[in-house]
Amino acid sequence: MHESRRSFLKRVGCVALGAGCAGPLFGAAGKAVEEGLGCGASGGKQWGLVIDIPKCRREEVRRACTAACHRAHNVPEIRDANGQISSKEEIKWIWSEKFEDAFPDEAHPYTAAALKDQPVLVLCNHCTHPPCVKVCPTAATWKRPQDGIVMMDMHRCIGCRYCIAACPYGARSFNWRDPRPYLHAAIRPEYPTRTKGVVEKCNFCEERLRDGLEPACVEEARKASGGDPPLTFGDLSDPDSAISRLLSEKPTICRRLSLGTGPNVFYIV
Amino acid sequence: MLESALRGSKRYWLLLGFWALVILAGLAAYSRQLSEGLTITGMSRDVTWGLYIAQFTFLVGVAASAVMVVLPYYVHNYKAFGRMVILGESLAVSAVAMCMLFVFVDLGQPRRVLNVLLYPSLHSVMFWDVVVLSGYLLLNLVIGGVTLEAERQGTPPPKWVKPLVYLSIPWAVSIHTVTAFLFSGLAARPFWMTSILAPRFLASAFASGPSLLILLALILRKFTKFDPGREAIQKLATIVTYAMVINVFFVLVELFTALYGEMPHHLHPFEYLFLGLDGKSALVPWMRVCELLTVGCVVLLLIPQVRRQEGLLAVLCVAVIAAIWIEKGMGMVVTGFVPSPLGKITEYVPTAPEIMITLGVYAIGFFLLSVFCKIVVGVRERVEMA
Amino acid sequence: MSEKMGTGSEPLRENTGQTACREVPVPIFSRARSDTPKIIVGLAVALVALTFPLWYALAAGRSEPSPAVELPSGVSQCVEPKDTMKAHHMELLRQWQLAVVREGSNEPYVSHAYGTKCKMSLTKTCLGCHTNRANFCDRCHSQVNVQPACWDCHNESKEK
Repeated sequence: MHESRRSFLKRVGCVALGAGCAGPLFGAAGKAVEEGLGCGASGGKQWGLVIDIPKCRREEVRRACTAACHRAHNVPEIRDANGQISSKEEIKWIWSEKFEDAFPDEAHPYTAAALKDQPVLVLCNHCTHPPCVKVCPTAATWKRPQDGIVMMDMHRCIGCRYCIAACPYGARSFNWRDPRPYLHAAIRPEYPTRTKGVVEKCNFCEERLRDGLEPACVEEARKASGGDPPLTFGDLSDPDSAISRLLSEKPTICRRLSLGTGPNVFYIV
Repeated sequence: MLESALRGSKRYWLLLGFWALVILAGLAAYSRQLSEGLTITGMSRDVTWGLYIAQFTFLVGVAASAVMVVLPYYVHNYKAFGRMVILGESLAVSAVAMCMLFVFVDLGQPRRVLNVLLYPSLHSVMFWDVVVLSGYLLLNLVIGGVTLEAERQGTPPPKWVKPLVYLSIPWAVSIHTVTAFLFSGLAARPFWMTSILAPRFLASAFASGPSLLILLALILRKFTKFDPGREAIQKLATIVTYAMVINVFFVLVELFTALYGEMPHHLHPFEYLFLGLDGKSALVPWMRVCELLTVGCVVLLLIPQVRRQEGLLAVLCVAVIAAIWIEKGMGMVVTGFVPSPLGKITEYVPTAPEIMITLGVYAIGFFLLSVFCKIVVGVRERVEMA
Repeated sequence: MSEKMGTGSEPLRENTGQTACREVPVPIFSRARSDTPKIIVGLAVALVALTFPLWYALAAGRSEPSPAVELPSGVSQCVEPKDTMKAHHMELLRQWQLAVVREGSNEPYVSHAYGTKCKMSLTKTCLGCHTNRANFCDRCHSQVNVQPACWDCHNESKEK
């Protein structure tokens, strides 16, 4: 067979490249098709949260929620050169925003000033149709079929920040730097920290739910308000749960419903 | 064929040496980013994509624009593009390489980049963008390499290249459409969520890419014996003109919908970009320059006598590239984040290390382009000697 | 070796299977003034050089003993036997990671060898006994120059 050395090497190279790539890629593709999108609860639970805005009027209540969550999950406090919380790099899982910023479609020029400026707690809504899950190129964030929590896999996240672009609620934060030096309180060892270059957000305290506890913010809010729970957490798919009964009794609103994300965090105005 | 990249004049080596210096500086800045994180850039919690993704968006257009030479030459037998096609493919390969590098340097965890291929998420447009860009890179490398080698041998290219060439035509359109879909599918960002984004991207691509190609042809003609021909350059100039006109029309159409419709979510980003919003107006001067350049280019390019003067044409090409770089790069990408989903306005200014890394990636692209052009010129010289 | 050069005006012929190109194809294994011996010798040298770490280690034997690691007091056995853990601890941790993070499993891990149950957690289970990472995990990792990324996020069990 007369064949130049060059074309022989080219042929061998192509075959090697093809076989080397095809094997693992097809295997991975098969696995990924199995994993699926997991959009919407499939016969499992759907955890939800109801936030009673008037009951969260006091700043101590809201601050307690944020502090409890951030402490439980080793959320860093990134401060800038002046010692202020850096708006450029801050990481927050649950925090307060003005009513007119959290609900731009509900606030109008004649909304009572008291309500317009009222800070409300905002967090990830663990949407039924989460746009962040749709756009993630590695499925590092996905909606858990068994309980509807929109999870983060810190091991897989490549830090492309597409999910942040997709989230209409500003619920996600990116680690622009190593967070560990900014954990001013002691690190809570039972929960990992994050590393630089990954995205994080509220996870509905899935590690606490595992042990039968309720989310840290819910527990703390109840303590801070002296017994009358401002936050109610439960299974939306269970018609007898406290949250389902509350939702059927009180009128509630959601953030940016018209976008079709199907948020599972509800607000009593 | 490839050996002509290793033999060159002093000027050639000086050029490569210059790119290499810039690459090294970029690498130094990037190693700092690897160790400290993306905090060294000007991006923030609200504006999470900046200079890197802006360059990616601009360069995907340049890469796609190769179709503007491939289509007339291969499908419509427009012979005048005979020597322009290989330049278009070289530019496309360099541009796609830069695109992929810009996405890479933008990643928070770059060593995990293969996760995109190991855990394919078919619902994610970003996954498809990686796939089509890789495919396009491969296509152009193969088509360009094989046709160039065939030219060197003095034979027609092998038959199996033809279907690949035909494939590259819709594929070129697809890379830029998929990139537009990255942005236009996000309900959270009303500035981006517009059907006309993909057509806008293509129109601006077909203005900026051929402009770069014209400049490349003129440079090669000046410094080497490679001349793609006056007619080819003139035809490209016509393409740039039409594409610019269509691009301007698309922008005006967008402005009408936003300004006449007056929906706050749609209106506010445009206000921020063109007029400033709540006292914040960092991008406004850039847009003024863009507007000036655009109007100047469109008016002048529409005059055939102006287009025929190659010196003037070169200046206008630079202006077209600058205008589209501003509008599509920073203008489009950064404005998508203003106002934030919670109504805040955070401005974005790239930092020096960020700019250095950007220049480093550009230098890699230009290095590749220089090498490709050297090979192309080498082959042409060899064929002409025969 | 003279190459055939045509003029630019010659009509280009179709590729008919017989090569009309200027580059003369050369069958791989026969050539005048053959380079084959040089190539084979070169390949052999390269192979020897590339596999140096393998054959040298085998030939010279262990020069450095495995580092002494501090074993936890009050515990007689790990999740799995020592040799299994030495060889497969990374796979075990990966399995735990997939179960806990991706599948959301709350099931305890059942040891294959002992049948004992434990929580699938690096910090709570592994580091619950191996409390001093520096004296245990890092000793071997440093010697073989392995830098697992786990410690970027996962903590030792005691508060510092």
